[in-house]
Amino acid sequence: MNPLIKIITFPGTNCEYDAYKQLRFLGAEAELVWHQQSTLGNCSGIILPGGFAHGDYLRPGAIARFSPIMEEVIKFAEAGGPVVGICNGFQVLTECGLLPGALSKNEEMRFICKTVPCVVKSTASVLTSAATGGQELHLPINHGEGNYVCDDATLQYLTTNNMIVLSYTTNVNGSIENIAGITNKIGNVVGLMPHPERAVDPLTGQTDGQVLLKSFIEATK
Amino acid sequence: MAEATLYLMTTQTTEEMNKMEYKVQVIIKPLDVIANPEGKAIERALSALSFTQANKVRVGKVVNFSISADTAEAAQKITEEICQKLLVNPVMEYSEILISQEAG
Repeated sequence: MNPLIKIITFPGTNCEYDAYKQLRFLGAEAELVWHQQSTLGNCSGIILPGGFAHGDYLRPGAIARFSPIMEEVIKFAEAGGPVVGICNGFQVLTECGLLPGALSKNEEMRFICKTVPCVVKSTASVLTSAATGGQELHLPINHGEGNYVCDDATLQYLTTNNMIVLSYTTNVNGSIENIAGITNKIGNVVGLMPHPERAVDPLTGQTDGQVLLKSFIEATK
Repeated sequence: MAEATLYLMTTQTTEEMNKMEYKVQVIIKPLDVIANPEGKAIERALSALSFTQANKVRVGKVVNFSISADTAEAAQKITEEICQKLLVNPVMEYSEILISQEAG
């Protein structure tokens, strides 16, 4: 059976087709899965795409984590399956406890929408395995709440276990250590604020996201 | 009519009849170590309006609801669970719970 990537869609998700089209652009098979479904079916990898699930009410990701499909997503992740949360998807992953820390409001009072330089800090994850350590990637960010926060013990845990996978080269939103993306300890669950799927097709003028999505597709095989 | 009313009353269990409605207010505040850009924005606006006496502005949120429970302690316990499961993210926030008996 060919690898099939499932893209979870909540009410308010708005990047599901970007992810779908760019995964297919890179040769992968993908399908959208509505959040009310309680089974994943044939699934070799999961993307939690960007947007504003459940209107971002209460806190981004706080209500999405209780959608029926999330139980299956958590089971899949705990069994070692590759899972990537992009932007709002990253917020869902921290809210449901698959990744530590939280995303708070950007330090400066702005919603940021621009392409920023990022650096690959660790290649030990399903999203960065095809990249090289220290590689600079120009990736679009598009968020109001991407300021990664955690306590000192968690930061220590992240650095000791090489769990920071991507960082900004400058302080763009106030994130501790300029964190743009992290992974769990074994590297199969990754959350990041930048949108790699918006930097794949040369038509968009940038292709630095390709190496990340290619790593992920490889991990689903 | 009187018979019907009597019937309705007897089908209610004593447990249900003893339940009270409690008014709950949960105040969610950002942890001191977390930046609070809304507070900062308001502080700048206040300063622009010459209210320079006001500082350390922090913005949180308030959630109001009512809870049906036997005692105020039970209502408190349920509310704590609600906070822990959904309303409060302890990485960024803490909360204060206020409970009072619903009037009427």
